[in-house]
Amino acid sequence: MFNVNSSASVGNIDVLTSDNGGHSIEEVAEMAANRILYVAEDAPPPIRDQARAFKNTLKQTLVYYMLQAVEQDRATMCAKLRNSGYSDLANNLRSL
Amino acid sequence: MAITAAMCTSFKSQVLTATHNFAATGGNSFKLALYAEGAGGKSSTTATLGATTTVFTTTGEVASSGTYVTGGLALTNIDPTTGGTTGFTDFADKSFTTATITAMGAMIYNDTNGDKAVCVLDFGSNKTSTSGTFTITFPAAAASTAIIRIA
Repeated sequence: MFNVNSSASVGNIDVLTSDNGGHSIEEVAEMAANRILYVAEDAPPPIRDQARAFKNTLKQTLVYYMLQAVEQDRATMCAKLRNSGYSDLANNLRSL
Repeated sequence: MAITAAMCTSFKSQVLTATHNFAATGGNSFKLALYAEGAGGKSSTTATLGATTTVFTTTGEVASSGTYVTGGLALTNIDPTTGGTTGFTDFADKSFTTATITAMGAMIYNDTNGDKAVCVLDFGSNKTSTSGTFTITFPAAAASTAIIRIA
């Protein structure tokens, strides 16, 4: 007799929603950090704590560079609007 | 509850007949469709989804809004891999923007191969975005957590 035991399962997802706009940079950074680094609850405490600390640092770094990306993209959008003759719109966008 | 998280039973047998290919390159196209229970659905029809679901259905699917269109949107495959004795696969997170959506669950199905159902996801409660972003974040791609696992 030859038996092979196997099981198939589906993971748990999270849903994040926002109203009248998109997610905040912090929320997106959290999503990115969760994708980059997974810390198992049953990991040895010293390793788990160190990993969590690193993840927090990682998230702060992601927030900083995402802010930079948003600002740079907005600057590019403003320049394109201004070059197309929409200076008022460009100024409004810049002041957001 | 009409929407119950499960890996579809039909999918389990189809794995044994090489019906689904989750490879990032050259793999099948998998879509994620959103469903509501009760009045949140497209026609106030409650979706009944679970292990016995075999194929994509429009019954109870939420209406198009923002970047979400009925039929669902394609997911980005991430190459299957292994961890220990478990094989698993993953998808990139999916966002629907400028969307007004109320959804209770979702179905992942194989758009390349006859809309065959893969799994049903239960959000636990109605999740709502109003002129905003509705994001599905998949679990960490690990042997104990990944969205689709075979141990």
